[in-house]
Amino acid sequence: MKYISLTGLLLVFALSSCSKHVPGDFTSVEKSPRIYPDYSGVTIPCNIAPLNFEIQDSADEYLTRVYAAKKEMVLSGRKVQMDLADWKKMLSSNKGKSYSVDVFLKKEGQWTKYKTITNFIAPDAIDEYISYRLIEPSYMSYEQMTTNQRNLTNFEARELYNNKKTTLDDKNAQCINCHSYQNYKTDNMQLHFRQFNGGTVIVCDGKPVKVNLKPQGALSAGVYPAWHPTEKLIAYSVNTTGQAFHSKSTEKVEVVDTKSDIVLYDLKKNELRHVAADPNSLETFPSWAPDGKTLYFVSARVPHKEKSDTADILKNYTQIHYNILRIPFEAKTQTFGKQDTVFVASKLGKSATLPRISPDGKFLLFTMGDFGNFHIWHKTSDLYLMNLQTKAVRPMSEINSPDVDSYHSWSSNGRWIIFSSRREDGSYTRFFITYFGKDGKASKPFVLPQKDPDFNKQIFKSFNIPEFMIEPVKLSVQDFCDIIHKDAKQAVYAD
Amino acid sequence: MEKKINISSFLLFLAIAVYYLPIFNKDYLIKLQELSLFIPTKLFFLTQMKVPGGLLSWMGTFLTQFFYYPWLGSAIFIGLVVLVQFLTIKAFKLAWKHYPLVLVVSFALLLTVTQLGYMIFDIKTQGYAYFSLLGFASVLAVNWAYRTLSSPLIRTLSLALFIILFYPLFGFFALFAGLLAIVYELLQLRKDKQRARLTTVLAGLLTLVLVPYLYYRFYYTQLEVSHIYVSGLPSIALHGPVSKLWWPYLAIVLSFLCLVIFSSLTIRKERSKLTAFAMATIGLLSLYGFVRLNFTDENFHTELSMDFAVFDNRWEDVLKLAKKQKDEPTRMIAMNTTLALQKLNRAGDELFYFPVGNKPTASPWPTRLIVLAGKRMYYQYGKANFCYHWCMEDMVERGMKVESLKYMVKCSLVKGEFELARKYNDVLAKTLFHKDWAVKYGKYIENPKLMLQDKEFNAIRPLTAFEDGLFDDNGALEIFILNNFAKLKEGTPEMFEIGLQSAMMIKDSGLFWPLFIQYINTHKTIPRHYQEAALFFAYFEKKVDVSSLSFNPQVIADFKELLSTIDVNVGNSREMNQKIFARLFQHTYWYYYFFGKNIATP
Repeated sequence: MKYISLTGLLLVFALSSCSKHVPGDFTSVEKSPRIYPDYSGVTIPCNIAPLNFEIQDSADEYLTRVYAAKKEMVLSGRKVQMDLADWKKMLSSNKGKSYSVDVFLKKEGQWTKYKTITNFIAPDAIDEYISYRLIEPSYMSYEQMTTNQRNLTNFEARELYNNKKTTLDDKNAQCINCHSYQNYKTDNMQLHFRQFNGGTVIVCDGKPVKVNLKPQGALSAGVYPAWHPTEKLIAYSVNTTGQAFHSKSTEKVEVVDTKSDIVLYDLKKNELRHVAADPNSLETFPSWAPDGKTLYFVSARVPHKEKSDTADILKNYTQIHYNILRIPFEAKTQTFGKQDTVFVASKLGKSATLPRISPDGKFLLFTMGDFGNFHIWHKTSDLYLMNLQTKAVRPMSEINSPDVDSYHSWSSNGRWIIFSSRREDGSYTRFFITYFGKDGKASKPFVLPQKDPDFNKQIFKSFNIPEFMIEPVKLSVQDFCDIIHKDAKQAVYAD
Repeated sequence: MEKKINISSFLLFLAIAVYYLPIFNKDYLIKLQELSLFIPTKLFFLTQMKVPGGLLSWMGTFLTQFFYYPWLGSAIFIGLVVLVQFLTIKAFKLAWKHYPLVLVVSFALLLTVTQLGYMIFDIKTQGYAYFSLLGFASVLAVNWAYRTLSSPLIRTLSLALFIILFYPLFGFFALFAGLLAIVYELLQLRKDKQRARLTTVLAGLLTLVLVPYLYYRFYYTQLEVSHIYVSGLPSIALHGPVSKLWWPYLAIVLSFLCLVIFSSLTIRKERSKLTAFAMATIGLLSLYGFVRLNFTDENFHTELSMDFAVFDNRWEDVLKLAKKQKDEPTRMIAMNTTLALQKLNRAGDELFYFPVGNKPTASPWPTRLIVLAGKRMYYQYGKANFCYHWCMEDMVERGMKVESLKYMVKCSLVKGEFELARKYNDVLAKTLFHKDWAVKYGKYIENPKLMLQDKEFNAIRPLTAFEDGLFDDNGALEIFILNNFAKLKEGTPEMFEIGLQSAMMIKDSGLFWPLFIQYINTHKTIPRHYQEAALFFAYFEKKVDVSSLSFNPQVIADFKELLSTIDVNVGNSREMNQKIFARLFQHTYWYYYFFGKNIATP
């Protein structure tokens, strides 16, 4: 008898849970509901995780109806957190169509329906994974930082590496630097560490090796990496970097390179060689064209070539303007051709960085600000697009914001761009995703969805260096930890 | 007799705990909670749980927030210590006549909080104040429960299960509880020769060794291998002067080991007088240890009181505290005093009235002024970027704190970064005791015009009229502020006056003269100290003619006396002259110039 009663109770509870429905009696207003994140009027991938959001307007009760053809979800509460399976069904059966969101708020016994939000479900899928680094937007200190991996089709995230796993104390601190993958796959990847147990972990055909990419006398180990799309080659910048602090500007930190070159690391030979090393120029941010036949990078003239110490560069930091250059590469002979300039930002009094070519090779996406290369601290930084056929350059006004818009990556199908932006609060970097149409135009960007829509407000770390991957990293934190504890293989310069 | 000793011991402990917590350490306890943060969110909980022993951090930060009301926080703390006393008696089956034995543990627990001193600014362990208390309470509770189990099989299984389940929650303390249970089994084995106990011991030891390692290999991503058996203990160095902070922990660990042995002894005939004497001695020894290691530095407490007065803009209170000071002040006290005089617009006449101290902080380990006072000083001098900078450094190295968040809100407001201010303010709005503060500043975020009615912002705004530039203070707080103001090329009258005072403090006449000339061109009267400096530099350097300026006749007369005193005492030793000049000119710029110690800001 007891069990029957309990079953009955559970059934009533289950039925009541399912029976949420939109109110029959309500007043409609032509006002959009205030929701965070702003998931209205956006184009989303057909395989993205639920776009959970929080209603910003205060009310006594909240009801939200999320619907598309053949599918409807009605949810109560201020935080709208959708069931993953229901969401997936809705997206998969409505590719190339829209879905809508109706928000109902009850105040003083009266329900009000706000203007319907409509979002478009693109038929193009997004790469399943991204990896990124989590770090405070700090100045000098770093205590704990991680490189993480996130499945974009759900909310699964895991650490790829956590520096606390191998660092003992303050005297043995360790900084995690950039990560890079060959052609969106993870069997060939690299992750760089500085200071304690420092070195570059290069995973080649699934096997990790620790390499010291800083032979004696070199400027630095490899800093900004770019895997060749097909060869066992990684282009790196080597940089001597300094920083100082703004006394008043909201940009707060200025990071400058006092010396930098581009080098190429041959994994098979364990050899490095210089690609661009003009003593009067600062070369950095290498990036391969998808066909591997061209290496793009940026370069700035040193303001006073006879004297380029940190103090001098910091004095003239607003005079440093980077242009986009490229150099042809023959994979068979592994030889570089003659470099040429793709975009002269300096003529506009601007500075271009982070060149990235679209997978179809038609577009060059880059970041441009007023000066320097560390645009994540520059409010003038915006994304720009060059049509490589016409050479026409335009600011991507449809996705840029008044605040920092910077580091960007193309998805493997070229239809999605993920980029970093500080538009939410001016300090903490968040990832935004935008659909890139065949016409070369992007849609309204939306912030990377989180299970708890309040997550971005609660977390006090910046998300940086978003890189798409089509498969997860197979190595665990412990695997990286084990290899980091080993001695590094010393690379040498061949030239 | 025993009863009397027990009651007196208990009352003595209570009296000492009450005196050394909410009475003597009132400001210290408030600061302790300002340097901590608890927010009731899932993310906060999960962040704490990323290492074994994370539950202690979570519970510790939760309980630390009650020190906002020092009496309430102390009542909770003392209540928990009394609970530990009860658990100690139960876990080790002590007779009440042995009550003073538990005082060793109680005073050690009290000491973990009161001996920290300057370490509260530097410690990286969140919820430190309650770490030992909660950790050792869990050890006792487990041992008490364990001893009630009779079946050897159940004991073996529960010991293993306990370590597996409780290691993630209590870290080291779960392992220590397991170790005590194993020691208990070994001692019982000697008595009853039950072979089953050997199985429990072996299984326990195996679990103790293996479980942390397996968690390290397969679960935790931010646990370093050498920390697997000590995770959950505070992050304090084992070597150097700071290792003193481990002594209470050591005392408790040793006490528990002794008590587990003591509780297993079969004492055939106990002499009650001897027992009473032994108990009283142990109680008194623990009290002596507590008093010896307790941190009671006067300067430290003055600094804390000044800190709160500065935060609340109670400038007169800062000066009252400075006057009350008996010991030679530290640079932090001197800086607070200067700041208060400047805010009250009295520095021109009184800057050198207060003793010019440079006493090193009474900290056995190195402390940096930038860590102790960087946020406060930079903010008050209008250097919001530098204040924010040091808040961020602190947050990165030592975690989020109420104090840093408040300054980050204020700095963001001063700089017009309202969304950023909202981000920090929203965290404070989730706390139990800082909601009201968040509501007040939330109004400024929503309606920045209201800031025009805020006295504090109105006092800071005139100090922000400088051009942007790239700087690095290299962590040298005081000299950076002084140089920055003394070398001003443009700014407001308020900034130039601080610049003039700064030039005097760094004894640089080259920087003094342009600022002095600017001052006399814009003001009708010249404060006493500026007159003293002008007369002094003009006479000795003969670069600027001040004869046309109308100085106070008394200052001129005093200056003449200074010159004659110099003439008369020219051959004396520095020490002798200092005494003579202190008697005649102690509160003048001249005395500061000759005998003021160099400003050092390590």
